[in-house]
Amino acid sequence: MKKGDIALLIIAVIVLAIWLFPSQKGEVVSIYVDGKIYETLPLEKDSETLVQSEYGKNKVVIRGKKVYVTDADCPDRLCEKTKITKSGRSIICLPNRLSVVIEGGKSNEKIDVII
Amino acid sequence: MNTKKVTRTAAFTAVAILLGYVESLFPPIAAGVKLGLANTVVITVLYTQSTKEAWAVAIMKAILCAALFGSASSFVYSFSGAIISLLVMIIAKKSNLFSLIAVSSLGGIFHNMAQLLCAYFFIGKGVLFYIPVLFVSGALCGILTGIAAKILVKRGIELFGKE
Repeated sequence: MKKGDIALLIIAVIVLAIWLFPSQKGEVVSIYVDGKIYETLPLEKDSETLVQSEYGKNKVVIRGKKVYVTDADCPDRLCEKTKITKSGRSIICLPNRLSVVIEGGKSNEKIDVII
Repeated sequence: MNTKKVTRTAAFTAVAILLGYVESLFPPIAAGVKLGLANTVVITVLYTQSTKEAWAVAIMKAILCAALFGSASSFVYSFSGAIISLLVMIIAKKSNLFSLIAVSSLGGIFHNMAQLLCAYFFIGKGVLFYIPVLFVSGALCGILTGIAAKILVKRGIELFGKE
């Protein structure tokens, strides 16, 4: 192993540790389309929201403090495979330019500083 | 470039496209996570041929793969990923600080980071939460393709000699 290899390994382990570090419970679910806020919903309350934009259609479901996407009209439907519960985690649908983010709680403030 | 080089570069590009196609047949491991088998070819070219030929293979592979199996939006992601990842790999190789596998790993990381930056422009700050996932998955996939490339480079030098 060369010098750079070890440095790279250390950085990768640090990033992994940050990712695995338990994050706080969030409070609100923010839905973004094309980078702009579409709707903000409470995580506590169960709901189903149909997100319709010029890029496509997805349904954002909140049930028992879990957030997921159904009825996506994008080709790969990768967004339907992600289920999020913690603050700072997000669901992304690249073709429909949609992102669903759980916000509030401590870990979210940390990320706000980076931006 | 002489005829031999053109032919060889074309053959390498064909293999890269084929690997890209084979990989597209399998569902991704998780959202945005792909092994990047074609990177094996780019690294092999970088180490056994020249920087110029590596650029040719990487750019042609990105353009042709998007044209054959992708869409306009997938082209933006794959092209930016390919350019940034090769640029970083060339710098890392020239710096002499990294082994081949680490160079490949850096390529994987920066491929993902470039794509994430693109996604940031299209989707917004929601994608930034994916930085750690894409960083670690890029590093791991880069290590795997790097191991494959190391074997290919060794055999490649035995077969054609280093130019």
